[in-house]
Amino acid sequence: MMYDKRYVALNVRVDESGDSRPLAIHWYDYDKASLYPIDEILEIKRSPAENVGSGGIRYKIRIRGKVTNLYYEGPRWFVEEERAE
Amino acid sequence: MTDRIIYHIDMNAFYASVAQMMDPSLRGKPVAVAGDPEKRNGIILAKSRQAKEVGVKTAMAIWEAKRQCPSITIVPPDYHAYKRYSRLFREMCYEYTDLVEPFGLDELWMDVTNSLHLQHCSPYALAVRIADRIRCELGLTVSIGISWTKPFAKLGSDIDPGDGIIEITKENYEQVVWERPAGDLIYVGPATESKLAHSGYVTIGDIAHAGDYFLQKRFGKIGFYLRSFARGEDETPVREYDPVTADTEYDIKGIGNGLTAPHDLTTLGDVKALTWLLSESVAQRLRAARMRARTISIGIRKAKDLSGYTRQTTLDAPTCLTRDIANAAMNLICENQPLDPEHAIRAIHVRVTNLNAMDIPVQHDLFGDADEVHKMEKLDLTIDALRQRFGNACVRRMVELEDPSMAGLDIARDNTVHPIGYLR
Repeated sequence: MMYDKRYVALNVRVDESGDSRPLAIHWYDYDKASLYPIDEILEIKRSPAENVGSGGIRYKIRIRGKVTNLYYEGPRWFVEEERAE
Repeated sequence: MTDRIIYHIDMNAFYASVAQMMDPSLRGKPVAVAGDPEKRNGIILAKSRQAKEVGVKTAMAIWEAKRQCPSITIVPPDYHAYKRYSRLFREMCYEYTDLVEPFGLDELWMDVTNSLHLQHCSPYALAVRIADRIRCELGLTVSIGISWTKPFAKLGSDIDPGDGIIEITKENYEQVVWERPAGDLIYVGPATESKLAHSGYVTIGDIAHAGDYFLQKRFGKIGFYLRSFARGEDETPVREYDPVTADTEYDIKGIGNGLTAPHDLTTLGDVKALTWLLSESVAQRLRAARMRARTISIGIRKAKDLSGYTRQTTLDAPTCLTRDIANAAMNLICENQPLDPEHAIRAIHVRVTNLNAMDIPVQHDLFGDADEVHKMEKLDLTIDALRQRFGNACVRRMVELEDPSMAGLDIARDNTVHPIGYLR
């Protein structure tokens, strides 16, 4: 399976102490826009992105029952997108 | 007093590892980071472990490396990423102690003597934990040396460059350290090593047992340093980090810039263009540091056999003018070699030392033109201010435009202050 590094738009809540918590991911597929709410954050840890290289602070999240990783890299956030073969 | 516990942490094949981490397709393959062959600084800066195994060495030309290993992937350096990972690496170490002293981008010493009890583990176990964290969080591997002095800790991390953790204690140092070749000791380079070897000093143990007379005669002060390193008597502290100066502020002893020219320099015009370009950057940095300099030195590398020489001159009065520095540097070059294709120059380095603060009054020459110097200083400072606002390219010297291949260079902007030496 090949992966692409895809930067995403997010809704993030920043609390009084400056900690940020991602709430939902905006996903654009051609002309279709969808919003995926993040159901749960399972783990927050600095980690390299194994599939696409580089890395950042990794949020292990659950969206619609599926566990995936969301990375915070400097000011931007990215996900590892599975490339359609 | 109990012994100190000092770690020396060394990122393995740092540049190449970062390149492999950034691009998963390079993992497990021979990779080398190299300069740009077009700009003629195309030598191997770093190589991955796989490339090292087949004999690719640092400072090889790219074609040599390709002959050695045809499947090698050459990637350009990405200093931005190196700096970022170097910072993350340091920040992680600050979680264990405030005594962290970086030594280059990829190495540092840390002193955990007084903070180890907070971790509730042995020095070795903490080293394993740190190495694990760096691997899991940054995706890079390190080797760690643990000892009670900085030179021994560094030596420990060099013994096993493949993710090893080596503890050098007062019980085992005679076996571990003293049997190693003298060149493994910090500050013993090839020149010192061959000097030592001529006198029959081959291992670090030999240095540790060297006599005062020999050391004084052959090496002077540095000889005694080396012996104290070899005996584990060095007490140099791990310097505390000062967040205000962010590891960048220290007594400046000299300012210099050097560049390998995009093509060999064979005419006065070519040499002048590069010399002025370098002098401009040096003078600009000098003025930014509010300093004046008296000694101007140049370093030249010849295109023919890559041999080099350095020359220096001391001016009558300290200066911070680009004009004075560039003229002094040009005179040095012209006095020392003819400028023709036979003596083509590959690289030039301009450096100023013997610095004085700008606020110290200058004794002017009785017959010189002090007003003019003052005017020129004001002009240079005004140009600096313009450059600060609008970029270095907003005001340029005519001589720089003569050579179009150098027109795009911005030496002051691309300047990076590299780590300072161990013996400050």
